[in-house]
Amino acid sequence: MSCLKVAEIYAYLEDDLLPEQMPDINEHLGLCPKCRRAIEGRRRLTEAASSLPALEVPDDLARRVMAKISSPVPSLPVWLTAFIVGLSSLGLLSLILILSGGKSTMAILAGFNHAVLIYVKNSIVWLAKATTLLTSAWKIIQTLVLTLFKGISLLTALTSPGVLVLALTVTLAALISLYLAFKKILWQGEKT
Amino acid sequence: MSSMNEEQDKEAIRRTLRGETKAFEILVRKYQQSIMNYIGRMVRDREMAIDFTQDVFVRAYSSLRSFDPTHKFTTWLFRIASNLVIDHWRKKKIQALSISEPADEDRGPALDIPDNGPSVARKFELAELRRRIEKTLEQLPVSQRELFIWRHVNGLSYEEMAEIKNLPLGTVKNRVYQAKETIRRLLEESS
Repeated sequence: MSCLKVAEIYAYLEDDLLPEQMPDINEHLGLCPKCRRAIEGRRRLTEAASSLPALEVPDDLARRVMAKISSPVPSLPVWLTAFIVGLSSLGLLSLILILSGGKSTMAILAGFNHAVLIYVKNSIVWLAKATTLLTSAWKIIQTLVLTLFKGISLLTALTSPGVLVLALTVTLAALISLYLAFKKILWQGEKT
Repeated sequence: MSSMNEEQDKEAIRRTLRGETKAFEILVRKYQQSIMNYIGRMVRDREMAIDFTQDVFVRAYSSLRSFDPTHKFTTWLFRIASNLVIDHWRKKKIQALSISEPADEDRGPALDIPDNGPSVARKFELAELRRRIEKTLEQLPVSQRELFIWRHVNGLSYEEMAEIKNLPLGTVKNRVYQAKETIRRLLEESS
């Protein structure tokens, strides 16, 4: 075997040679002082290179970095967002064209316009109907509330306070009786 | 162990992206020394190295959303640092030719081993040898210096370096060997 090439020496020092290469190389090194010296010199150089001292880092370096980046990680850049929106729109348009099955672009646009017009027209009609219905319901509720207040006012004007207290007590007693009766019925129903 | 380390980095990234800015500080503290060791030896100016190291982390933070979690965070961080240093060389137009790859390195060094007596490495004590290596680093072409530092100072694997520089594995190995041979030659010349 001839003398080692430089790459072979470094590969040898880093255990980066193929196992089948090793017997020949070891045999050669046993016979060749020149290659042994070459390996020894480069081994020492590699050791020195791999133990170079660390450079001093300022104590406040991390703090300085953090001071520069106090805001959250920025989201996508504006140009990229615009690009994605544009691409999505193109994709949607392509999908419409594919689904249209060979219709011309003008026909698709005309169809789209027609559909939008019908949708808008129907929405307006439904909105008008809903408004009418709500207005009527509001008038009925208003009338009922007014009537109730007038009735109460009339009752309090015509009757003495004693009679009112009596009427309220009777009404309350009737409500409690009704509640208890319903409760009893329900309890019996559960029992059976 | 290494995989657990990577998982910790990825968790810190996830937390940062969720808005926990403080989680990023963990990554800065963890890797500031490695980045400083690399940049400091590349630019050979302490103040500039400090500024560049900060810039690396600020750039990493700004583009954290583009980080691909299938790769190592350190690989990504060193790529940012490398781009920053190369931009600096380009702007300064220093060693412009050295940034590109040497034309014949892919074929591998076919050098014969010079046999000129006791090796220079054996002539010096280890501390003196380190000091001389530091001094000769600035004479290395940028493309060799960078890989030499990553390999011997940062302890990156050849595979990681190939990924960072997007180069074939063989090219990376040859470039590191070339760097060491250049240093050895420069030490021989200066002794």
